[in-house]
Amino acid sequence: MYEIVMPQLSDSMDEGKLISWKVKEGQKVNLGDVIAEVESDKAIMEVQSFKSGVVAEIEVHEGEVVPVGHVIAKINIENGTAKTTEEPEFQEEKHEEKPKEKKIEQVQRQEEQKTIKPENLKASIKEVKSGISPKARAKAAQYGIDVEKVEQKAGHKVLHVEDVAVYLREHYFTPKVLKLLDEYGLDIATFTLDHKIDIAEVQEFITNNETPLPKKLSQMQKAIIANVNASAQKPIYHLYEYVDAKLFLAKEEYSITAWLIKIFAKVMMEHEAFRSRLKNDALVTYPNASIAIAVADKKDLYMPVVKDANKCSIDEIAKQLAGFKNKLQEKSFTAEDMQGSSFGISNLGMLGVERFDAMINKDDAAITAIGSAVNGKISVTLTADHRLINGYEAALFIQDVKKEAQNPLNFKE
Amino acid sequence: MLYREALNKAYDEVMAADDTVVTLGEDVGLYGGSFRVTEGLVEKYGEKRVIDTPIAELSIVGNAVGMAIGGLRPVAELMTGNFSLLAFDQIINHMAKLRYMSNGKLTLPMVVRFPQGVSKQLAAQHSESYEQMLCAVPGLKVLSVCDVNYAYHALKHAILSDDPYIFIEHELLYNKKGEVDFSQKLDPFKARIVKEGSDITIVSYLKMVDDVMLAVPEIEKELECSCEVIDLCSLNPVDYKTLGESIEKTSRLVMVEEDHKTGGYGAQIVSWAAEEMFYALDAAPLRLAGEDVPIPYNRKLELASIPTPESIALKVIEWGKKNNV
Repeated sequence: MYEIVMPQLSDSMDEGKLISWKVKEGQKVNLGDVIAEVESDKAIMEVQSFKSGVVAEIEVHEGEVVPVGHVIAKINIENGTAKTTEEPEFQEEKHEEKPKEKKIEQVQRQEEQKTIKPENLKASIKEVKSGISPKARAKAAQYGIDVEKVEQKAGHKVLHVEDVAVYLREHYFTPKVLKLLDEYGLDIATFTLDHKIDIAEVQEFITNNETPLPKKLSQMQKAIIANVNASAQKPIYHLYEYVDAKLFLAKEEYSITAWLIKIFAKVMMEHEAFRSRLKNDALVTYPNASIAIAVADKKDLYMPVVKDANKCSIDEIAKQLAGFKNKLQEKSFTAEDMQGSSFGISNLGMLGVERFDAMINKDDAAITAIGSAVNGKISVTLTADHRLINGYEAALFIQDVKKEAQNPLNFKE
Repeated sequence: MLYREALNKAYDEVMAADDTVVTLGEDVGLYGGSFRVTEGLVEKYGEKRVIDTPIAELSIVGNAVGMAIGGLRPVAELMTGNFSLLAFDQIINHMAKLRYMSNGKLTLPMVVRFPQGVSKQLAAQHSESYEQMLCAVPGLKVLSVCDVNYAYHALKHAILSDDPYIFIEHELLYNKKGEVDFSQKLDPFKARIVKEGSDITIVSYLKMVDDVMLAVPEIEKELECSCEVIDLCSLNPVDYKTLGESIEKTSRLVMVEEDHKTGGYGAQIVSWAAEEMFYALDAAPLRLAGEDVPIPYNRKLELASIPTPESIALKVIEWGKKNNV
């Protein structure tokens, strides 16, 4: 089975839209056949099959947007390749096998789509029997190494710079030392290569230079980095305000975050820009208010979503928040937990931070940063994406939040 | 925005801003240009500035040379590269040389637009590429356009510059879609890094850049490597700095071009790499170019005569396997 993936058509392309399929499931394709048209951020281009076979599955619908590298179709090559490679390139009889009813134009069209596999391909790339690449020779000379020794070690006669590098590593270091070097990301060139370097020497170097031990990023860390990088590109602005929190500070059985979710969700229902997000050049507005909540420990940060928060009672919201805490401890958040928001809340008030501003979560329209309560007032800093929310709208939103915070009806439960 | 629309927009803006800019060529006026690049210009700027000419290439470029000497900024459109051969005396002996011959007293602020390349079944006399000949003429600046954004910025630059430019377009790219960043300050002589990578530098220009990009996922998958793809953009002068930095990083060079291999343009790039980058190379460079045959009319043979995404992928993969990629 051969998988055709969404190609990367430009450096900046990270997803592509499938414009149209040129083949159907069950259809035979030849190497070079155009199977689909895709649109990148910059252009519309044709996708070709690099193998012959039969289209087994079409995985992406027309109009759908998928990330680069995502499988868009599967080609069953067992059916196709054997046949097509044995066929002479310009064989005409093939079409006679087709049912007579097939219209001539169809046959001609299929013929047009077929491109040619260069026949003299194998002969075209010169096979080198022996020799050393310029870069490898230069490196060997730099360290005064006899090329013949490298050849003996490598066990083959065509030498590349990698062979010299391997020789240097194995000649001057034991496997144990190499492992240590690799762990610390140290280049062998850090050491003077004129004697066998033992583990004590490397350890001494690490101690003397206070070389830090690099740790690989987890998938989660990588995802967070990608998200905040994307967030930093957004055209944002801030609104700095205070909310009178006396009414709900008194209701100690529920957290400030829980109350704020309830208030924000209610106000979001009056301001649809805050229920919107950008999705593939279109504005998507959700019917309900779903709010992402920053939940973190020393190591990890998650933005799980309280879905349709406008429909939840304060009790339900509090239960969901408790659930998030458990999932944080158990590390059992799923991707599903993080989806569907258009707005975010980040509260550092419980840690004594009076005021700060937050970065917008993924594709949300805005986020609000909640500080600690001072004299019954809480600092609320709104960070909004100017593409979705203008300053006027944001100011009205904050006004409504302030109003609702002082509306006793909201805190009856 | 389409490639041809980007060129049209560049024309329009420059003609609106500077009334010494004129364009001339076969069908550039009433018909709007063979590839619709000059669409709408005659209606806007009149027949004195958008001039339909007879089928006489030597006179098209010759008239443009005269206009340029006389103080205008002419843009001559040749319908296809092969027809330019009739105009080569004007291009080489006059357009390229008059500033030199007059000790700098004459300047020739002019552009010859040059659609070329293998399109679909236009056969041997309408499909060739001539960058190798044009780049061998001192005095000409030669730009090649693959990218839509580059099309807009480079054409504006070429028209407004006081130097004679050959502006090469590819006949299959006119309907290519892309975005133009109008606020960008683009240096037309800087090569465009289409995709960054660490193991193989693939250099190309015109339509082959797009074909290379289609082949790259397959190459990267098969060789488990990452390719850096560079669109040369300016063929003369060449941005050797960008190429050099890339080869220092990857140690490997693949040159992909559509013109005939013998005497083809990419030989210059590979020869430069052998002269200047020898000790950075960890593999013999690979050069993929058109076959040394007249471009066939038959569609299958036509495609067999030039690199295609699948032949690029197959050859680079085979080369890579033999060269320790």
